[in-house]
Amino acid sequence: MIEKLHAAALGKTIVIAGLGGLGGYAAAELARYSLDSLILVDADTFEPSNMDRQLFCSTCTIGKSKALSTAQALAKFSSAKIVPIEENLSFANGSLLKDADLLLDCTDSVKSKLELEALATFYGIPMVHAAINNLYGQCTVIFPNDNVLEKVYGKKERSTLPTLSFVPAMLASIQVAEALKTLAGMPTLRHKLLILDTINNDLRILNIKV
Amino acid sequence: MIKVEFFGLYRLDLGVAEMTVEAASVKEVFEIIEKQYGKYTAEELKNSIVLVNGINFLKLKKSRTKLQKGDTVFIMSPASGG
Repeated sequence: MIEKLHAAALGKTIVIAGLGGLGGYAAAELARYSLDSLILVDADTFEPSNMDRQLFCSTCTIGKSKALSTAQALAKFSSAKIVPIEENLSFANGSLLKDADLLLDCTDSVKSKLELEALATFYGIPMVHAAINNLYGQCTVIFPNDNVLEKVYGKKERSTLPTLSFVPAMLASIQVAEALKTLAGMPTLRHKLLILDTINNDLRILNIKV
Repeated sequence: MIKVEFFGLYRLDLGVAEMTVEAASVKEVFEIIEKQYGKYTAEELKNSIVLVNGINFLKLKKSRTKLQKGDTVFIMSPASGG
């Protein structure tokens, strides 16, 4: 099984949209596989308030580009080509997905998540979605034309509460596992929504009707 | 009986994972939760993500969605942070 997952990553290109809590941890894990390229997309810079949970936020990177800082850190140990893009992924620069095999949604708003889902459908690639709020989070795998996120969120923007470091770390690990399983053609969370409650150690998988 | 399960903030805040209620609509479920726990009003619960047998109630008749014996209602708070 381990060999199969390693092989699935070999030579692939993965795009990570959003390099905050989820994206930082996910990038650190994915950079350890034999990918061809890992494309890191985020227009933001690190702020002091990110220090509590964002892996690559440090006194040295505050005020600096998240994409660039993360890429510099990953280049120290990754064999993949690390490509930082200091923009947010949207329809305007969606061609970044042209040669990608998979997209990781690590963004922080319903609007951007819905846009990424539409973009992944347009470019015909799967997307692994994750989101966190307070002390819980969710993850699912979306294939082109599944249109899952509107079924989950509706179209309404949702406010979020502060979180702690272990929540994005745990959800990002689940997200990476789902990404590798998706590339390997194994069963995933497609059509299902995983919800992890870190306080009660409760992990539930809900069926989402499509 | 209708099985109601809570996820996210509702589960953390109410301290309850699930309950079983007699209700003919989602609106009645909201009213029962308001009466029993007092932390969220039926009006506030309309803003939650509600899945009736796995389908978002926004795709059905929202809080007017009718319920039948054996239906399952998930009441979730949204996670959209990164």
